[in-house]
Amino acid sequence: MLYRQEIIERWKYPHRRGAMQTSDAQAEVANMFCGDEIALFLRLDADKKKIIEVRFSGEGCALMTASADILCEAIEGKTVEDARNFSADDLLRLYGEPPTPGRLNCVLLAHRALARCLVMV
Amino acid sequence: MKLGVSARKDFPIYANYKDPRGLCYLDSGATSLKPAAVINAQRGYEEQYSTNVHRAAYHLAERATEEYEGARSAIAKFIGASRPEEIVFVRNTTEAFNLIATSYAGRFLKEGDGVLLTEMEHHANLIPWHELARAKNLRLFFLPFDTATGELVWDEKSFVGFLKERNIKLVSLTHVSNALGTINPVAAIAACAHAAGAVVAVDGAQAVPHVPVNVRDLGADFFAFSGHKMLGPTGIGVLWGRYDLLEKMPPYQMGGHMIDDVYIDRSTFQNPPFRFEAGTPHVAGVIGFGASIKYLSDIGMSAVREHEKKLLSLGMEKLSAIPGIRILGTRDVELRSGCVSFVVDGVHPHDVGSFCDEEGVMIRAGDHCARPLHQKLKIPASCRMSVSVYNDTDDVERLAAAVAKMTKTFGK
Repeated sequence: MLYRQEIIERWKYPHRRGAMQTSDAQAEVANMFCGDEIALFLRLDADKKKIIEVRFSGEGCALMTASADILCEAIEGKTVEDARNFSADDLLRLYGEPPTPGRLNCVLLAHRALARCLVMV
Repeated sequence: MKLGVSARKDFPIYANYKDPRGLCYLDSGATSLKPAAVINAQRGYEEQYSTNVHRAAYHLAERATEEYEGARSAIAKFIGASRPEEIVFVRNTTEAFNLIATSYAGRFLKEGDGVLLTEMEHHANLIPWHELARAKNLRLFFLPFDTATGELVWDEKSFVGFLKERNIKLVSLTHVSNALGTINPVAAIAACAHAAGAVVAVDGAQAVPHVPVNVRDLGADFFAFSGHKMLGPTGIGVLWGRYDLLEKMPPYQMGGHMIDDVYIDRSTFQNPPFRFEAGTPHVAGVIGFGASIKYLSDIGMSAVREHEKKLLSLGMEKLSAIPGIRILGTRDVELRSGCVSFVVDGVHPHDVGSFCDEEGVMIRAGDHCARPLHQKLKIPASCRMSVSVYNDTDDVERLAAAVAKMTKTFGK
């Protein structure tokens, strides 16, 4: 089932939505297929080793929004090193029942944003 | 009359589809389902006489040639062409526009000449012009459409002057919008274009499957459409062109079969349509396309149109009754063909599409290869139900029920 209760709830009431005015790293990516855009923001600790806050903003489908929210929560508190090792498969595991192949990119969009963010750290 | 539920026995996919809810396919605008007559015609060729056309002196190849050319004649008659030689087989509508852009406009338009398109074009009738305009310094103009009614905004009285002032040498527009369903006034536009000395190319991909079309009555000079959107196979389409225009155009691709005489260092080219059909063509596809033409002719395109109007009206009525649904384009079914597109407040079209899929209802969600149209409407994408001969009121009812359920699930 694509629209499980958890996904609908996260889409309606995401925990980590909202742009940061200032951040230590930020990246925007878009899904050309559907026009979805996401911006991901990271705040790091003083010695730039640990991620202390993660936020996302942007408009998109329910799957993208829910997945971005899951990713933000998963990354928060990790070291930068651990975040670099957080793979797309790790995100899919946390996401749960996999999306249909045509919607996989929606679920993985936030991970592309994370990878781009970490290039800047 | 074989329309709606009673036509479904002709389409094997309905019996093969195992979901107990039954097949609810509302995406014929993308590609249509195929009747057994088309599948059998293609298989008959492959199993009984799969030889090349126009080449050999043995009887099987003669039969292949006869069937292939028979399809060409049937298609010519179906769209009111003056003669079968005006039918050029191409892969699809996209290739037809590349052919027009390369062999007609590429040869006959000069730097500074204008090409008029519309804001509602499918990318097939847009991107080839981008490239040609860049290469030859042509100027592109776009007729706007009204975002509320989905109709082109133009003034018939001043249109000849409008075209002359901009030095428009070619008008290329869609007969029916694949995203809005608008039926454009092609005949009136073509008359003005001719008065201004411009040639008219028409994208008929969403017209020929749904409404009676006569290319001469339309006043078109070129007209393109695809087999797979009208119950035929994928990989085969038609460019119809006025013979006198085709005759003066250079070939599109070079190679086997399109030549007349060949020497080691030069060659001369065949007359149309063969000049534009280099290499071994998609013989099975053409024969299957011929079978789809016969299938539609047996029903009659006026009957198809009346049947689809009933479904489009019901779709607009049922969908607009659901809170939060906005229908794109005209509500006048006389001005609409093939589809009803809509958006849902606060829900991404892809979520609508995927939710409907889980309810067993297949619709299109996306930009329908008409991104500038969606940019103008300020929406990322839209949802589209599109119909064909096998659809019936049950399909529309199921869509409306799925969308209503979706709005409840996604309601905040």
